[in-house]
Amino acid sequence: MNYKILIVDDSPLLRATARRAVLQAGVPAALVREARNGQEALDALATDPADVVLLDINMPVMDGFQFVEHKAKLPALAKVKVALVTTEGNKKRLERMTELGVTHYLRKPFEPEDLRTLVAELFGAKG
Amino acid sequence: MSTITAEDFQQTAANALERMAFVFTEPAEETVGETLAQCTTHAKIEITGDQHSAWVVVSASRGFLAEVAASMMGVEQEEIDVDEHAEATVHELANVLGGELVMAMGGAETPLRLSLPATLDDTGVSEHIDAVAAGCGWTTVLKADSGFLLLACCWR
Repeated sequence: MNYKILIVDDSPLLRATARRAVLQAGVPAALVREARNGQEALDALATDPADVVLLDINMPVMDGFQFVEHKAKLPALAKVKVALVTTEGNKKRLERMTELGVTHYLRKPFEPEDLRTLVAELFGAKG
Repeated sequence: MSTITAEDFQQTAANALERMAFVFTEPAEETVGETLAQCTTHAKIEITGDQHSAWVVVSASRGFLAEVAASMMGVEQEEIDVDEHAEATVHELANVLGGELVMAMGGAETPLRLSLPATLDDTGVSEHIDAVAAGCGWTTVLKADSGFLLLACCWR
């Protein structure tokens, strides 16, 4: 699975958990990058777009909502799929994220298998 | 908000810990004071909304933090440097449990905001426990094989 993945979460613990799930899904380690907030994610995507972004919402500097709003204005990132991995559960906010192009959502707390399933679905949906 | 009891949230927290880290807990018989003496790392997270606001303080012992961190990272507990991972682990616990409280407060329909977790020192924790004792909420203690988790919740 030669997909480029960007894991965006301010928690090093969650980044490690997500990285493990992605590697177990068969993505080479060299194709997995990490960012600690939305701004770092935008910077990383500007130099090398990813296929999939696993995105937390509650982060310092630039949160996940702001990241998605910025990304939606950047045509170069239109093909980058975004999956929310977050404690967020507000229906209106999630609907807004869907309107802006977010395709998948996994609410914390999740079991490791849930994340592996999400990654598999993202690869299946990647076209 | 007044319908969220310590017992309800204890079960919610236990379910969350099982899901996120395969850590199995049960209500502890130890007092808050006895538990706090064993807890080394503490974090607070705040919830704000138009109608209600609340905070949750999460305190954990080193063994508990090591078990959660090891499980989430997929390594053996002995491989975890607790000093390196304690703060990130207690922050993530606060984030997840704060998120669960948001949902219990009706966050799916009501716009509530969850803050970023903030580290508390021993004095800060004691002040928050005192606030709870003064009547603004409740405390509850969970016990795992590896150690303790103390939760204090207050709302207004």
